[in-house]
Amino acid sequence: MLSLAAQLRLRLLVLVAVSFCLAAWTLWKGETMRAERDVRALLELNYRDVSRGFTDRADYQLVSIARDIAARFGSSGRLATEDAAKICAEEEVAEIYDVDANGVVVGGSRLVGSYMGAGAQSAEFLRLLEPDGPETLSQPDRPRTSDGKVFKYAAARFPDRSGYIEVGWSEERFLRFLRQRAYGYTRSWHIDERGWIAFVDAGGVVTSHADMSLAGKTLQEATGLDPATVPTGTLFRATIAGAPMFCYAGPVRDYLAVLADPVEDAFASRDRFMPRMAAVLLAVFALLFGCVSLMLRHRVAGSVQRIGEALRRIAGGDFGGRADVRSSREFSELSDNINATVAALRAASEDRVRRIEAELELGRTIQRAALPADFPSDDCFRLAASMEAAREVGGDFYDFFPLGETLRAFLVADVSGKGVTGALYMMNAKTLLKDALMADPAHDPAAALTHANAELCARNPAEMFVTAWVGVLDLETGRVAFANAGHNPPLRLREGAEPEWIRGKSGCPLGCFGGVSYKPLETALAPGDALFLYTDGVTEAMNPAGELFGEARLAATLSAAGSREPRALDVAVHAAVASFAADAPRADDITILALEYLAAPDRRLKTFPCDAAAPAASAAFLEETLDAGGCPPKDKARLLVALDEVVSNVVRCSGASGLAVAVRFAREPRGATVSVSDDGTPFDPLRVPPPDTTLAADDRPIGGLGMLLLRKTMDAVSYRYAHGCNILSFRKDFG
Amino acid sequence: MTTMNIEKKLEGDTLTIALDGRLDTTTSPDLEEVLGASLDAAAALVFDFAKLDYLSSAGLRVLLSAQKRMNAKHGSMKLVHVNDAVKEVFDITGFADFLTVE
Repeated sequence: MLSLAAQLRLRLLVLVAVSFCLAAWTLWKGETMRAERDVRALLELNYRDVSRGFTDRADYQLVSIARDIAARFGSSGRLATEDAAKICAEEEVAEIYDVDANGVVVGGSRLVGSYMGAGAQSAEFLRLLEPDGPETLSQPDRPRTSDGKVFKYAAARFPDRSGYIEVGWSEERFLRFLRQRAYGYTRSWHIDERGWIAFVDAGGVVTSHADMSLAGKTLQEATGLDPATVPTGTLFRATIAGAPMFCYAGPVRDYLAVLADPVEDAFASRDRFMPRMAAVLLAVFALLFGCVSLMLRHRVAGSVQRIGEALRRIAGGDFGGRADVRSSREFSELSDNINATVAALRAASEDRVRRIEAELELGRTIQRAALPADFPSDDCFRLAASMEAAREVGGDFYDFFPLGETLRAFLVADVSGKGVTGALYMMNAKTLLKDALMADPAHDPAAALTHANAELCARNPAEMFVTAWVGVLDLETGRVAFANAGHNPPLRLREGAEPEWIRGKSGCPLGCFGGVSYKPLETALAPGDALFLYTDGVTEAMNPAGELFGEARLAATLSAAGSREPRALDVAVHAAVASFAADAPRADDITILALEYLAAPDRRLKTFPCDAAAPAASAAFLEETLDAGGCPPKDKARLLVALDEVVSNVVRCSGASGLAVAVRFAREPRGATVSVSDDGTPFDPLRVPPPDTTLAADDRPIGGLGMLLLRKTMDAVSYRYAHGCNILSFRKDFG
Repeated sequence: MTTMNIEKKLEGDTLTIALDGRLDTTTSPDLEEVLGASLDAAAALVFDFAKLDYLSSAGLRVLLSAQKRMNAKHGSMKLVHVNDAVKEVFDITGFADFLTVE
């Protein structure tokens, strides 16, 4: 492709060339027409001259005769008829009239005594008698009044007196004169230098020509022109003797005058003038072309190029690029328009990016907000978890929560979808699993998966699924009840042993098939053991070479970590994955949950027979235990009241054979949890509606106040039925 | 074992009962017994809780029953020297609304 400047220059060149040709042609045409006009005028002028000169000579001849006679007879009186006849013969005239001052013929060939004014033709000569009249007069040949014969007359005044001599030629004499004149009449008549005039008689024979050798030949022979068809009164071209000629023909009396001028001569000035003119034109047009093309390159093509560069930058994504070409109003407007468009584009693009970012951020916020961040750490167990989201919102989640005093639920899951939809599905799955685990009195992970799966399958328009590993750790025993819905197997870490995969599977991922049951599985942790859960973002992290991080590297990393402290494990694995993946883009969320089982709860436990002595005996045990545990007196009083309420209820209502009181202290926040177990009739006292405390004394029923006190004074109260026992627990944080 | 000492003093028709210890499931029957024996003679009943550590709902039952009996014979009943722990229980249960606590 040619550049715009080159294209413009090419077009300009064509334009200038065409203009030049047009101008040159117009000039040529104009010059030609002017030359033709000139030659036509020249030929017409010559025709008129030759035409007039042909008969003028006859007038001159006849007037000369009249003047001679007038001079000869001016003073001698009347011209006698005999003398007139003699003179007529001498001078070859037909008639002579001697006219006196009164216009009366006083002598001459005939009509002596008659008055000249009687006939119209002869009356014209009376003007010679007027004082300021002409000296001589002649008439063209014409029929005379008296007998209609054609005559030609001329007259001359007497030089010394009034009156005149009139002489006349008969037609025959006049024609003879003309015949003689026609021969060689134009022999020395040249038009310009080489033009000529041919005289042709009625028989088509040339009588006169610049080249008299042609005289006597027919016009056809001499010039190739046919006198019968030759156009008259107009300019025409003909090739005569091999030379192109401008010709003009016209009648002169009975003759035909043919005038010719070589075309070459007629166009001589044009042909001389044109090359010089063309050279000047060429110079002018070349100059014009040079100036305009220079201007084009600087003003137009240069501007277009700069606009083009700006647009290329903008198209390349540089929305900061500006077009700023101010070489003319048009380019200035164009620049402004481009800048305005780019500004609008930039605003729209930024707005779109902002909205996408906002939606991604919303998804991340949902995801993050759903993940608990206050990791428990006490004497029995500690836990750490993390979720590193990929650039897009992922669907990983983890969760952990206590189930009563001694059970700790924890889980890791991976939703198949991403984005806000994935995040919402994850919220749903997480809530379902937690609710199911909490609602189930046995806190069975497999049952929770079965329940959550049924719910997820019932309403799964997005056809998503979620893999999950759910475990419940019993702090008392270290047993972990778990269920695995298609999730990666976790690792158990133990002092002095290689990491061990816990590979049991309970069923397919949640959300795939409704109505399936998940198999309950179990493993055990000894004090000091850790459990490491993760999502496939860890094992499927890819390095730039396309290799996966894999289970072997994970096990090696955990083995080399040198610690089973959950936070340290979490950090070590994240670091190993990051170092392995280097700068390869992260495809998936990386989620980790690690927990370490430290020891069974530090607590005191005492059993009592279920009888009237139980309240006092259990209160004594609690007081002693709380005193040993450093419980403030005020909180001790509240805990003792609470115990009194619970134990008195058990003794009064449960029908149990015995009861157990367990006390466990917590470090952070400092506090004590008391659990009362009995083997009596299953009954949840927390379900009893609280009494109306606004009634007056006389209307007050007795009862229900104990549970009210329990709820109001304790920081947490819970009931469960497990292993054939009612277990009521209440916790008081030391204030 | 939890115990409570009950000190009973009758001046004119005003019966003053001072409690020392805890008023709970174990001890409230003792107070109930004392009241049952001596309340008929009193037009005004005063509980001195200066030495009472705490009370449970069992104790509340006894106090409510005493209040009802005093109301029935248009007598008066008031509680003096009540500590914070006990006051808290009264507040929670709404007993503060009808008991006269000084």
